[in-house]
Amino acid sequence: MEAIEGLLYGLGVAFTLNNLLAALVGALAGTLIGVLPGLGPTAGIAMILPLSYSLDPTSGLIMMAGMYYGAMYGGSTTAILINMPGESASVITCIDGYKLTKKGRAGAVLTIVAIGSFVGGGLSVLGVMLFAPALANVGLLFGPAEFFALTAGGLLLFSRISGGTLAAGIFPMAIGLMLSTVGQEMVTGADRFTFGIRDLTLGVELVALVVGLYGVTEIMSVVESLQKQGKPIPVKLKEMFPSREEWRRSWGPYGRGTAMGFVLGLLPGPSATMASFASYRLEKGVSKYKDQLGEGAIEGVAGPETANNAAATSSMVPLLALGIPFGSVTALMLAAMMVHGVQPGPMMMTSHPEIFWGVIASMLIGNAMLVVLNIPLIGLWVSLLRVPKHVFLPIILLVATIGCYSVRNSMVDVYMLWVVAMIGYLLRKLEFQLAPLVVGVVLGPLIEKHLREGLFMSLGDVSVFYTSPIAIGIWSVVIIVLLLEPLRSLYGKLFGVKVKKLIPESSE
Amino acid sequence: MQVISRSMGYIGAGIVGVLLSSGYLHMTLELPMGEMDQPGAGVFPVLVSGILFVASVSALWEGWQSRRNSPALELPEGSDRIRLLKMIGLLLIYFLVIPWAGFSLSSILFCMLLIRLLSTLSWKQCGLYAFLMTAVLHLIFITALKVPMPAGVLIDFFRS
Repeated sequence: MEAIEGLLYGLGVAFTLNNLLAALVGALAGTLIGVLPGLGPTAGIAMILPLSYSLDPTSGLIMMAGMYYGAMYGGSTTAILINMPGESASVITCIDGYKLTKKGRAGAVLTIVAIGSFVGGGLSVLGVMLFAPALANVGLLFGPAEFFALTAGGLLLFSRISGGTLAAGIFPMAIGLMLSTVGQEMVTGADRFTFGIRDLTLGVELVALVVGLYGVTEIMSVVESLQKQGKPIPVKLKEMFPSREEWRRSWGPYGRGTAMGFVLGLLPGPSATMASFASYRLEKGVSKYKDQLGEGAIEGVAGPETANNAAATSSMVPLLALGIPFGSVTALMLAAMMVHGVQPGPMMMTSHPEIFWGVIASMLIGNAMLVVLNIPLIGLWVSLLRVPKHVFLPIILLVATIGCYSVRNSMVDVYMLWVVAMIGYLLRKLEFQLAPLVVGVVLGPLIEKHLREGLFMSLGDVSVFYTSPIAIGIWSVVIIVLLLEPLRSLYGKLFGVKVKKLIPESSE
Repeated sequence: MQVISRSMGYIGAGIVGVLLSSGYLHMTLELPMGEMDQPGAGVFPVLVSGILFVASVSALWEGWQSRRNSPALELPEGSDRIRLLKMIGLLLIYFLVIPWAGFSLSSILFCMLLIRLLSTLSWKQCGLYAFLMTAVLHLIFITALKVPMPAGVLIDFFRS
């Protein structure tokens, strides 16, 4: 199916009542999650994961994708109005967004963000539409050795560039891989590390893991520093219109942010966060008004917000075309597909075209829904910011408990939620990255599968993993990235030159 | 008060990781290894225990290297710490009580205590909020979406 033909088919799938409703519910729930502190997109999606099991796979994934970009938009609303980012990709928006709010431009900035998110998301969909089939064709050349390189190498790369030091990424990744081996082994059916607990036979439940790591730990952070909530400034509908000058200054950042976000979304790592930071840096370098950045310039909001939505959209490419999640949200989507018996990857376009093209087309519709709904509904989102913490925190904890229990009707998963939250809290305090742990749990079984298939097909010859040109190419990239930081430090020591750190301090 | 630095935390995490990888390897060796052309259930976990060991040693190394100029961990103090510990304790008790008292009753009690902990509302107001929250969630998830949350051993006992 050609790209245009595929998109038209996808629009046909997305324009059914069920799928439109799924996109609408997802976009609204995502915005709500993004607005409320205490829940990021990952934990929010984890909580609706059990709900998505009751829908058909296409509707479930459309709802999850809607939540992802809805949360991106919602997160920026709190960043702009009360200087409190709803999720990590909106941290950079606080700088200029809040200063513009103090200058009385909150409504206009929110409109610029909504349109930017639509432009970034929409153009990125066109890129996904053209790029994903091409990548899927390349994926057809992949055998177990290449998939092993892609999954194992991708996980290593992801852990390294997630932020912080080497140990900050690979230590949680190793714990994630260890947790992925708990449960019944796929080939022989032997139980591994279950300690006789029957509920662990199916492995560590991803919902409990993600909600514990991202949801409950975030609530613990909110409870430990129970500051007085900042009161948002009311925004009236007539204040939502940007001036001609603001529009004129936003088009450049929209374009640059889209390109930057689309490319970063294709790479392993926390792409939305990286894209927003990279876009801000780019604006600081090339914008005509770079001197005003940091003091309340519209470019500092338009660029990063467009970039993070573009990255959120293009991060679907590796998932749909290769079956590899390069982030925690896409890891959850992979888990949802697997529950429905759908294996994403190069064959997905032919075996499940309705899911592949339906999800892509729904992103276009969902992003448009966000603009149409969110600009008039901004008053509602602002009023949600006034809900006191002692009201929404217990509700979130109750919903998290129901979500964890309902996946397998097991109290073991609920107890695991508590244990994981404690571990996650400690890891966060020590500045370890949490995303490599989640991606390790999801990719672990895939890495093991490709490893065993490779050994089986090569009659035990290990060289199969490093002799194919594609595997060599992938491993070379991984080694180069892993060596970047030691080389930087060696270069600094040898020549006494200070080179800027290439890997961010933290992405979470 | 004793300040815990980030390097101390890394060293602690590294030690725990080394112990964990040793214990994990010990259990892994009891699994069938198979042959190279037909690898058994223990092959991948052996690799993982090696990765965990290397990662733990790297955490130990980084902690040791930065021990002189490592920043203190941002841990809550005073009333903030007490509030957090109370919340953690409440959550644990709530989870342990659910199978006995059932989801609805334990949720009302949990919410009431948590609201009281996080606000200055009176007990009556806390109870009212807790009841309303649980009732709404009960209607959505248990009545409408038919999520089979535990009714509780005590409730079952009284019913029978």
